[in-house]
Amino acid sequence: MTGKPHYDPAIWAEREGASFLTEVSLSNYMAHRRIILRKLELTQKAVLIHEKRKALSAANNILEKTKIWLFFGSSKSRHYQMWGQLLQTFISKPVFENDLFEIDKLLDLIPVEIKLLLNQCVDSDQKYQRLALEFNEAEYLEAKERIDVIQQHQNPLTGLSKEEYLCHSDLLKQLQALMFEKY
Amino acid sequence: MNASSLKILVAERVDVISDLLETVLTFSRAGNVFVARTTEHAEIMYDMHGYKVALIDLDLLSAGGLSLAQSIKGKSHDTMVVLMASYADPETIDLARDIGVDDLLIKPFSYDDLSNHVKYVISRKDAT
Repeated sequence: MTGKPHYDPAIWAEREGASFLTEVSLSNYMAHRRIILRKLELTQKAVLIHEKRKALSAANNILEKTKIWLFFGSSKSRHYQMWGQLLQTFISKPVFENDLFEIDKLLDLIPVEIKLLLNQCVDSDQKYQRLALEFNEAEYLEAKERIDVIQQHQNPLTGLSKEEYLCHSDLLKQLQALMFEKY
Repeated sequence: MNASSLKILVAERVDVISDLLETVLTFSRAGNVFVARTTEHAEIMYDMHGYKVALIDLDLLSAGGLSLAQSIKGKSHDTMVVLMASYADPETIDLARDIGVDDLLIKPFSYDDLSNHVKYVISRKDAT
């Protein structure tokens, strides 16, 4: 970049509603992130229930069944631990807005028997239901669209484009790898 | 944006925005976030703690964001200053550049924009 960046007055088109749109965007992002986190936690729970049921149905006697109860009670299941690692990544790293929507779509692709358990968990989970009420998707998407128009402009101080600021996360790849493992 | 030891100063006049910035940056483990709502408050906090990144509202109460940015850059070039603005005329942007402001985050912005701009200034700092 040489010389002074271009100054386009159109970059201030949302000047009057700037605080409101930022508030809508950030508050709904937080609500969405909390919802997806809860959904991942409930998926982990559904996976554990599924694995336990599968193991119990194959058990031949009361001793084997007791061992299975103890094993799953201590959360040593491999898949349970893998979901735990994914949750840890989700909690400890930045998660981009579109990644949240993609994670939600990916969770729709889990095996149907686990999906049924997940739906039951979601329907009966008060925390999830409360979080869902805080998230206004239509308002969020509208704000995102208006913000995107503004942010597409070249930055008048640095001269950088939106693309030049972009960073990517590897969270989605991790989730895909986990979900396409066989259960 | 994943440096838990990073100290970030948020100097923003609108309470709901400063609260949200603190929440999203903390929730994303961006670092330790400290909030100030006036220039004086931000100056005191800066002198006490020092910060790696300062997100400063151009319309900050009392002396204004540019004055705070100038003061911080005068004390240390190690602090990366991101000015947040819903409007700035060309002269203000020239002044910000002359002062040494590292980046400008246009309002309104989303979480992704915030995250990308913070990462950008951190990467610039790491490169120096």
